[in-house]
Parts: sequence; C-alpha cells; structure tokens
Amino acid sequence: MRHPLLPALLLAAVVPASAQHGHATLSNPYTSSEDVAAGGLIYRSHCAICHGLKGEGGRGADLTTGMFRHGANDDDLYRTISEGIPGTEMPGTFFNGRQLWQIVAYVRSLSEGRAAEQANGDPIKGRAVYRAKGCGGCHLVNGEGGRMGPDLSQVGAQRSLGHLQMSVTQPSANVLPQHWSVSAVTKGGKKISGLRMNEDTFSVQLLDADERLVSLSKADLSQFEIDRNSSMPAYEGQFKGREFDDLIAYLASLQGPESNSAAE
Amino acid sequence: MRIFGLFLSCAFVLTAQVTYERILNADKEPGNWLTYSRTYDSNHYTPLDGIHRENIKNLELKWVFQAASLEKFEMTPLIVDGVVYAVQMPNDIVALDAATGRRFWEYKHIPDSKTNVCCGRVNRGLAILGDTLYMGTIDGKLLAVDAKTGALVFARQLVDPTGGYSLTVAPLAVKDKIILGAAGGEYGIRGRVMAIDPKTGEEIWRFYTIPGPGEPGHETWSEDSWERGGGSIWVTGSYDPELNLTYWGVGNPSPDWNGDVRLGDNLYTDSVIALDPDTGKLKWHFQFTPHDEWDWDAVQLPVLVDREWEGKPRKLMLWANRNGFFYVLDRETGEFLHGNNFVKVTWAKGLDKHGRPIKIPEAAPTREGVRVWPSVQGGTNWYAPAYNEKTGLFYVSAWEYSSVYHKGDPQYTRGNRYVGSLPRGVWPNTMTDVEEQQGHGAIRALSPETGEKEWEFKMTGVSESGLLVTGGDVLFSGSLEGYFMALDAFNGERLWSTNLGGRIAASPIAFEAGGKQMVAIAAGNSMFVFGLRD
Repeated sequence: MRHPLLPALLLAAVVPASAQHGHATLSNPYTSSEDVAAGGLIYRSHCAICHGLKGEGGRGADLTTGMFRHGANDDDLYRTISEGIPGTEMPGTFFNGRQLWQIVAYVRSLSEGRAAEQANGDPIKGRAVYRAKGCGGCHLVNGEGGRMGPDLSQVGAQRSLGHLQMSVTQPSANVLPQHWSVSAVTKGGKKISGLRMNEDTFSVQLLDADERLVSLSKADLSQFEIDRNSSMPAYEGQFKGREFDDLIAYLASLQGPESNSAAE
Repeated sequence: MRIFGLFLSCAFVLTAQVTYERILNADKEPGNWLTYSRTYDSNHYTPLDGIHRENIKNLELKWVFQAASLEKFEMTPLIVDGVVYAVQMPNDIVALDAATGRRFWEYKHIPDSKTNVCCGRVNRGLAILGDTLYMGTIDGKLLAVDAKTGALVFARQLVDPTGGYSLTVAPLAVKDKIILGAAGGEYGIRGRVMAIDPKTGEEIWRFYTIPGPGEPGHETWSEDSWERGGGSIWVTGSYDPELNLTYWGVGNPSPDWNGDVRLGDNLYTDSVIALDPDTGKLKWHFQFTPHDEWDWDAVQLPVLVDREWEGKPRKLMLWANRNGFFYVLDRETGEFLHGNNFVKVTWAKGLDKHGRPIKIPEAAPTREGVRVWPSVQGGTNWYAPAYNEKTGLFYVSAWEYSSVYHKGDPQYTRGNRYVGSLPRGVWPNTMTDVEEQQGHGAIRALSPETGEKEWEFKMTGVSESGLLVTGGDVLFSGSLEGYFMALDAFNGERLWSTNLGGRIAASPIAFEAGGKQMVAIAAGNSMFVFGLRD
C-alpha cells in the first residue's frame, strides 16, 4: 500500500533545507548515462502510457520540446514527478529520491538536440475556425464556452500535435472515463442525459444537457446506460484548405489560463 | 448508444447561474446559501422553518463529507441549486450533491511551500458570481474555478506570501466585483482590502488598512511603523445596497503585544471601515481598540440591522468585539450609539461618549506579565454571531477567560513572525488548567438596546463555533468539545445535541435539498449534514 507521507519523506531526504524553503533551486545529482538509462526503464513502465514511448506525448504532454509548463528547473521536475499535478490526470509516484532524479535525467534527455514540434498552421486563423465550427458550444477555453466536452484551456500543454489531430478527426478513438456520457430514464418516465462526472453503487452524478449538476439515485431509474464514445461528431474531411492545420495550431497554442494570448 | 441530444443542446450558451441580483435577493430563495453569511447583512439567520422547536428531536445525520486534510475545518460552504461547494483545507474545492453528499468534481490546489500562516492552513470559504467560484489561497492567489466543471478559469497572484501575506477570507461578490482582503497581521504585513475584476482577476481598487504618507490616519503611526503595521482582513465583510457601503472588520496592529514601536492609535487596525464598493473610498471608520496591545482584532462579521433606536427607525450595526465590549453603531455615519461589556473586562473602565475605551494603564502588557480579561482569544472571535428579527436578540459565542500578557522585543525580518512575545493562557483547557482564573464559554443573547444579557447557555469549555438562528426559532451552535447543539432562540434552553467527536471551529448553515431543510456543520476534519427523519 502506498504510504501517503512517503513522497514527502523521500523528498525531505534528498532535498537540502534551503531548497525546501524555496530559497535555492537544486540541480540533479544523478545525470550519468547509467542514470539516464535507469530513468528510461522506469519511464517506459510508468510514464510512457501517457507521454509516449519516445516522449512524443499523447494523453500526456509532449516531453521532447524542452518546455515544461509546471516548472523547468530540475527540482520542479522532481516535484512534478513525485507529487503529480493537481487538477490534471498526472498522478504522483512513489519512487525513492535517486529513482526520481533518474527519471528527471531521462526526461531531460528526451529534448536534447531536438527542435520543438511545431504546428504548421496559423493559430489566429485557427481561432476563427474554432468559432466557425461551433467548438465553443461544448468546450471551455478560459471559462468561455460550453462544458459538455473537455476543457481546452491548456490542451496545447497537455496533448501532442498528433493527439490533437486524432481528437478532431476521430474523437471516439480515445475517450477518458470522465468524458463518458450517461442516459437515464426515471421510473416516472423522465429522460435525463449528460456528462458522467462520478458514479458509485447507488448513485450517479452528471452534468446534464442544460449544464446543471444533477445527482440521480439508481433505485429511482428504470433505464441507465453509459456511452463510452465521444458525443462529438468526427470532423474528418470537414475542413477546407488549411483550416485543419490552423485549428490544430490554435489548440496547440492553448497553454493554460494565464498564457492564452491567442484565445482573447 | 450515442447521445445526440446532448451534443445538440450544447450549442446554446446559457445565462450565468448566480447573478448579483440573486445574492441581493437571497431571502427569495432561502434554500440556497449564495454568499458567506447567506445575506449581505450578515445576520446568520435563515427563514427556513422546516426544522423547529417541536420536531428537532427527529433530527438525524443525512451524510458526511470527510476531508482528505487534517487542517482545522473553518470553512462555510455555499449552496447553489442543490450543489454544495466546500473547501477542503487548505485550498481544494469540492462540489457535492446537497441531498447525498456524493461528489461532482474536485479542484486541487497545492499552495506554495513559501507560505507562513499564523493560525492554521485554513480557508473560510468561497464566493460565487455567474458560473465562477472564487477562492483566496494561503499562498496569496485568487483562484477562479468553473462551478460546473471544476476547471480553473484563472489564477491571479494578489499578495506575496514571502512577505507574510496570505488569503484565508471568503471573498464577497458585490455587483461586478470580487472583494477580499489580505491576512498576515502576525508577520508585519501592510493590510489591504482589494476589489477584483471577476472576469480577468485584475485589481480594480485597493484600500490600505494602514494609511501611507499623506493619507488621513497616517499620523497615528510613529516613525516608519506603518510599513509593517498589520491590519489583516480575516473575515468577510457585509454590504448595504441602499447606502452602497461595504463594511469590513480590520485586524490587530503589528507587532501584537508590544505597542512601544508603533506609538499612536494605529488606524485602521481594530476598526470597522465603511467603503464605497465602486471606488474603495473610505466613507467612515470606527476604531474599537485604539493602540491595541492585546491582539484584539475587529475580526467579527458586521451585523447590519434595521430597527427602532430611541423611537425612530435607524440603520444599525451590531458588534460584539474581541475586546469584550458590545457596540451599536449607526452604519450610515459610523456614529457610536451604545456600548457595554458583554464579558468581564479589566483593561478599560468603560467607553466614553464617543465609544472610545477609557483604558486602565496597568493593563498594558509588561515584561513580567499582567493578567487581563478578556483573554487573547477575546470576548469572542471570528466565528459568526447571529441576529433574529423575531426575537429581536443578538446572539454571540462568548469567552469568559483571561490571559497573562507579556511584552517582548519584536524584531522584524521580512515574512517572519513579528509579534513581541506571546501571552500565556491562550487556550483554556478545563481538564488541565487548575488556576483560579479558569474560564468558561457561553452562548449569550443580548438586547441590542441595552447590551444586557437576556439569557445565556453556559458551557464547561469554550467554543469556536459560529451561530445560526432559524425561522423555526432554533439557534444552532457547537463547541470545542465536539457537541453540535440546538437551543431555543427565545430562552436558550437546550433542545437537541449530538457529539460529533471533533472540535467545531466553523459556523452552521441551513439549506434545502429535495425540498427539505438541512443543517450543516463542520467538526474535526469532516462536514456533517443533518435533516429530519423521513
């Protein structure tokens, strides 16, 4: 069983007191080729499922660009890997201090000598495509838009270009459980559908089609179904000229609520 | 099955959920709790009468929210159309179903480790405006979070935690602004109230609770002591829409227990300030404890009451202060109308005709220590008092207790404690404190006209619980012992109580779920919700 205090204790064991109080940053003490290789082994089994075997990104952020949204210092990366990123799908881990530094070393190696992946399109034009296609009806960017689809405010920092492209053309190819839909009929005959936010043995919580938070008791339902597909239509073949590249460039530009200049 | 109806319906943009008008007219929807004190007058009264004196014996536990946190649970939740928005200490937000407690979403914020807070890594609650929740964090940020999904809308650094600043107060949404203030009075901050643009997080105006050079009140600080003069904002203010004034209680001067380094009255510490919410301009102020040397912040809710005063209708403000005196002020002008002590007081002979305390010089802290009533925790503290028009009584959780106040030599270093010694006897413990001066707590009902005690419910220990008075004539409260209790609002007799097994340091609230009245209180590390047996 994972001990809840373990990451903090391990961190305390390897990080000097000055760094713990934020007065200094700490460089990775384990950067040899052996350390990189050891970090790579851990990476393949624990990180690659989201960040890709080569760090190219996917469900998780692209790690080959050398840009790290939650802090680019070694101790920032150490903290991110150890504690995870609140409010995202990135969990914490339970490795010891040396192993964590080895993962940092491997992650650093992914961006050595490689140019950042660049989107080909124009993000400003892409914003117009986003609006014309009505994407904001279901997606939020910095608090503006609908809520039935995933919040896209920092999708550019979280997803690779390939993943963004796939999400637009084949939205049902990779749908996370928090984006599954539910439809239900109460014993009184009322139909309710919405985004499944939480479910337990006796109840389900959803954001309904009118964007109301609704909790249903399963005992009150005559029908209850979960749809694991995306409710977004596939946009494959729906774009003209460079619209698709522009849209992807716009999505890639969305780096978080504090840095979305193209989103204004 | 594809749920096409779902997608089609999202093409329509919905109107904002909680408008300023809804908060302004909160009494039209008593089943909700849309702002820190439910109403802008901070009466901590609910018209709900489903639970009343006759049926309260049928109260039972409906659900529990167990926080994944061991911090003190001082938060008051919001209730919006069947959803409970609560803070999990220090700064996570959860959205729960009001009927069952099941979770819709959770937003996690890990505060920066460079954070100093004097009195626990706590938070007192949220504001909501439109579809967005607003929370101050102990590392000095204002977070805006989507109420439907829990997604971050923006994070704005308002104050610098490395300078001792933090944000623990529940913000107040007034018209098109989010108003809140900074804490950190034990770390030599310069306090402030700020109005924030709810869309962008930009600061619109700022009122310094410690006036700078050239500003009125600056002369009440010797030398450069104003630069680190304290004046925290710990508790949410009130708002009078007719006068267009928002009222905020200001905390103690820094350093707390040595006034020699900050000679003068030290405005606007330990004061209530009346601000124009559109501009942040000061309309009036009233200082309860000039040149405070005991840490008696004006850390209470400004309770706004309209009632007759000497035969004429008048806009009043009722205030039981940490310094042990109960005050009645005219909230249009700040005029002092009445004041008397509501607990034992040995630091002042009384109040003069302007409400200024007539201090007893021997009560000032000394190097050897001097015992003074009330204690450093005060005659009362930050937890909500209550007022009920029907009974006409002002209810307060009172501490009859003393502290020995010592004077030390404060040394200011940026971001660190700056207090000047520490009083002894901070925390009464009825099982270990064998001194003659052992104190006790009480819930007291005061007459606003006379300030006299109409009744009291005496407790063995003390209480950090706020109060809630209801349309069912019930007064809810709690205790550090862990009891959640209901008293008869007319005479203080105990109607019902239960042991929740952890100290209560929060204020009870009431709301409706499924058309039925519920009452919620935080105790220990959990929030408990009660309703009548079906």
